[in-house]
Amino acid sequence: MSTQFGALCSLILLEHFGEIVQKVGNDLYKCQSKPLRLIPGSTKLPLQKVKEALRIMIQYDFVTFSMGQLPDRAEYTLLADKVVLLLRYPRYLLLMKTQYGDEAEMLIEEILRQGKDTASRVIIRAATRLKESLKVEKVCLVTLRDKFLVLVNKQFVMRCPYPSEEKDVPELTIKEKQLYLPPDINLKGLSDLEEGKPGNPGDEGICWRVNLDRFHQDFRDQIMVSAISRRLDDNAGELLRQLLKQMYLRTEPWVATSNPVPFTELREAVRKQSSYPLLAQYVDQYLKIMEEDSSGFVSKVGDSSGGQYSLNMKTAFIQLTWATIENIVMERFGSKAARIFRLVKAKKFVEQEQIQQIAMIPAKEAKLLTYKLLEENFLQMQELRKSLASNVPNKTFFLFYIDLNQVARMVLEMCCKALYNAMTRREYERSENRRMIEKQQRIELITLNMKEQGATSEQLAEIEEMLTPPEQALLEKVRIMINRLNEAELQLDETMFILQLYLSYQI
Amino acid sequence: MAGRGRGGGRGRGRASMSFNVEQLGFTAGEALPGPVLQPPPIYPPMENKPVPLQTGVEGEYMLALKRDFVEFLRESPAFITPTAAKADIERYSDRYQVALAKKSHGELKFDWARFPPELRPQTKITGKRKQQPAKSTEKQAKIIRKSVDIVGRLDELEKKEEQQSDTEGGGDEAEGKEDEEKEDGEEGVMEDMEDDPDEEMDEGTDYINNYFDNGENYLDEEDDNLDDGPIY
Repeated sequence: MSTQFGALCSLILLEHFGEIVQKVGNDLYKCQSKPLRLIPGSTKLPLQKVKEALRIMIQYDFVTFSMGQLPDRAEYTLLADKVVLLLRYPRYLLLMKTQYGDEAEMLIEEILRQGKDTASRVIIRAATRLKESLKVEKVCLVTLRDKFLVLVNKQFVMRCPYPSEEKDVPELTIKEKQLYLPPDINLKGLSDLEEGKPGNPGDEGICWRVNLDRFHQDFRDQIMVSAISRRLDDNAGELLRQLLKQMYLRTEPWVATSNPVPFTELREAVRKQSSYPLLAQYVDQYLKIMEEDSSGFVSKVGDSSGGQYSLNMKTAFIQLTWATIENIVMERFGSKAARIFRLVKAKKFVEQEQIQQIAMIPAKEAKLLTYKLLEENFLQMQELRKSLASNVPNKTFFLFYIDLNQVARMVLEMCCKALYNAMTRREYERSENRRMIEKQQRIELITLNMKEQGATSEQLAEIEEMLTPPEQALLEKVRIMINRLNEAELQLDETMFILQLYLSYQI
Repeated sequence: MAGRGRGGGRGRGRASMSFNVEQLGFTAGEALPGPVLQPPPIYPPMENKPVPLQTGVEGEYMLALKRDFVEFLRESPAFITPTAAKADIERYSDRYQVALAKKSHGELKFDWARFPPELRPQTKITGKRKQQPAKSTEKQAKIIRKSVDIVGRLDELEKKEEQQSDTEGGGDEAEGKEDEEKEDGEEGVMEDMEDDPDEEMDEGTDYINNYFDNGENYLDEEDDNLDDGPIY
């Protein structure tokens, strides 16, 4: 929780929910938790607006509340991590689209848009939107409901906790077994509601929200599979995917090391898969390669039933983090610095003299690069005295080493900073060219209206010409720049995801 | 490090470091670089160009999703806007801005049981508020009584009129008319009160009305006559 992270958080709130929510969010970020009455004082906002902002943030699960020091007064806490996840929403939706289809994507998007909602309302809104986008008269509500049930079953959506008893500050709880209990939706009531008649779908009061952890689990698996595919080949990637499937049968998804999977079962699973004939033939050899690979994703833990293999999530993410940071050093300081960095990584603790000898870089350049890395905190220095007397300088060794945990945190911080900068720049570009963008929007609107009224192509061309060529060129330039910044934000988030996962495994 | 060295230095000139300078790669005769007295530049030059972003269909699709999501939230009631300070003068363009700012995506539905009571829209009724509704009901009762009275009085007057016309025939209508006028006057006031806002609105939105004067009535004599005075 740093100031940088807080700044990013506040900018995200501003972009999505406006100025007031941003101010309240900032205020809550600064102090751990706060009762309602104290917020207007420090934010200089009217109480009514503060209330509105808190309602919104509770609705989207960005703020939680609990009984405070004073009885019957709630204290509010901001969950900054969840706010930053707003940047990842497009990725969640893309995953849904590719794996479960358009309907699932629409359902998830509807829940994300509302924060939380009942199943029936989500289904109806998704149905209306599907009708608009597909331009069809009727959307099958049964399919949508079934999709929703699939999502519940796969634990992508879960029930919201509800207040157990009437208290001054409601205490939200939910039992473990109720979390993924499928909803009982009355289809008759649902279709009545969709046609605009009063109907009762029978799930009033049961709210659903998106289980973001489940998405992260899928992202993690994707990252691991693609890493292995890149390192070895697609067959190995597929093998890892099968291994992950087997793992989920007997292991909690977020443990550091999975329970062992017997070789025979794995081979059976691979055989059922017909799209990779080569893999079925050489399962044992692929396993052997993966096991011996320095990445350490898979390790052999026993010999019974043809060999027992387990997946090392923690090691995998340590390796991925190393790779990420090595690449960052490479891009920022050049390949020679990257060589020094890798050398220090391999030797754990190493002296300056040794670095220049082993890395085979001229003495002066090696020193320059090492100190630069030290200055930027990618390397750390450990002082080692042979004698405790301070006036014997010659007996002191300076050893360089890498504290991965610290470097990862620093890089995460850099990512936050970069995100912040990208978002600020994007807003700046937009506000600089606001008049132009608005003009373009107006012209588009007019063109659309004219088309509906059946205007001739000449008239349309005339309207088009209201934007002069230089204006159009400028607009195009701004559009490209904004898009690129947006894309950079999405990809920065990918790096952040790996680092965050690494840090979460360290705890 | 240099500062620490100086603090503990015993006046050995240049080599007032806590470590041997030669370790840093400076030979004995070489001059050390001078101290840095300026803050580093805000935008240091980039030595290496960043790698280009990965592009692809997926990226574009995610961009579109991101844009849609932000746009949706911006137009939804979740995007709280501050209550704008009232401008010093009312501007004609203000009316259209209000219309533009209207939210298109209905209300957010909250399940109030999940919120602390202080955030719910109607909290406990405080002393002041308790009194207000009572007052308003009194007022309403008064109004109802009034309206009942009016109806009663109208009936009375009607009967009176009938009696008059019955007794006096069509001869003395003036008196009856006077009475009527009185009534009209009273009713007129009430109507005025009701009509007032409407009239204002009409003035305001006059520009939108399709008003066209073809000029036929221009300098019409009858019209002129009408203007001279009200006709009863």
